[in-house]
Amino acid sequence: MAATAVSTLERVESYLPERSLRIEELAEHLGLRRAALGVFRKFYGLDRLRFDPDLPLSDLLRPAARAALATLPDGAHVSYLIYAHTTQAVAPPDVEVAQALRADLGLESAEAFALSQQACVSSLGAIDVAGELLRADGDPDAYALMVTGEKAYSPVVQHVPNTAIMADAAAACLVTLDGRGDRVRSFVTRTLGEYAEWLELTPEQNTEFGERYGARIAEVINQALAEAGLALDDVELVIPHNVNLLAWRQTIKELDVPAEKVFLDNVPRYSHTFASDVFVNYTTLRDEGRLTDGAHYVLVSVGLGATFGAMVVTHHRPGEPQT
Amino acid sequence: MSSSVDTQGIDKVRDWILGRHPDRTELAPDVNIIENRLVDSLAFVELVYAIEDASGREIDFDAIDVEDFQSLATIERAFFS
Repeated sequence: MAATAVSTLERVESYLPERSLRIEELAEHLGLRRAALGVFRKFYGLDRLRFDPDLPLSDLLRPAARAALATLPDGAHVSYLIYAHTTQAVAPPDVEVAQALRADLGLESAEAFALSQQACVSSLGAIDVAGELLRADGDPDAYALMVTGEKAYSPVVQHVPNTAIMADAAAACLVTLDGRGDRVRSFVTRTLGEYAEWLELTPEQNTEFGERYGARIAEVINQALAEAGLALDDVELVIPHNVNLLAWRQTIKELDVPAEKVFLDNVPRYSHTFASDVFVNYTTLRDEGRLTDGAHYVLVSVGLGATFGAMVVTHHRPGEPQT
Repeated sequence: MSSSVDTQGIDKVRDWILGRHPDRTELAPDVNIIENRLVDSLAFVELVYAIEDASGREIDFDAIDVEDFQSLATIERAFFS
């Protein structure tokens, strides 16, 4: 297999716990006061989210992962299982989630590891890493499975002040090289280490980060498009993370595109589900028949720390000829 | 409420916005403060508190619209008139 083989997303699946809450039902738990709740609902566009503290992490991760694995072709095998998460500590220190997931999924022959260094961009980063590993191996029957999903186990994790309310969801993406699925055209990230303190930034840093947020997202999107040899006009939709509508409104202004070009329908439905957002949104669009064969899409996320990431893919429905 | 008190109210909001931007000394009433990132998404809750503090009233979120926060002129019309 050539070193230039293209990563392809063979199957994307997502899972949302059934327990759905209005954000007001979390106000006491998160210590949200009236004004903050009003801003989250009215301006940030949040309404409902999925949150089930009684659901074990393994039960959150399993359904999407199994659904993706069910599409693995005969004769193929999973060489890598990559668990991509945002929060560095997602389980007690004696639990290796990636290893536990490997056993749970019956993927004993796969190499399993976790990535979290790019926070909410880690899932896109994991797709990139999966492609690099598969290219290095050169095994034409090899696949990688990327899995996301984590629990907002503490109010400190669940509420990003003035920004987002985190929610439960999981996703999985089956990756191979030169397959029949969505072709990854480019992936660009930019990490700004000056924001490494996450929620402990100074007020000045927070102001600067917020003011330049949209411009920085636009930079990585435009760079990813340039590397893919495309322009924004060529893109059917931007499939973003669900941080909030106001941040995206400023980004849309920066990109100078119609608001409809960015898929934001799931912000009021699911809120921000850590590294799962873009894949949850992808499955929503696909299941609604809104992904067009041969069309280009940009998957975008931002991670605290701070990493801005954009991946350009060209969608291919299973069974459709490649273009 | 007298018009001078109203003016003081919107002046407080203007001062709060300018206080976040030491490079600016003026803010025209019709400048879009969101699109020009004079108030970014991280600072919206603080803007709400600044308006409530200046008007002396809690904002009724059921009765307002995002457009009310576009500029000093819309803020004045919605909360200080």
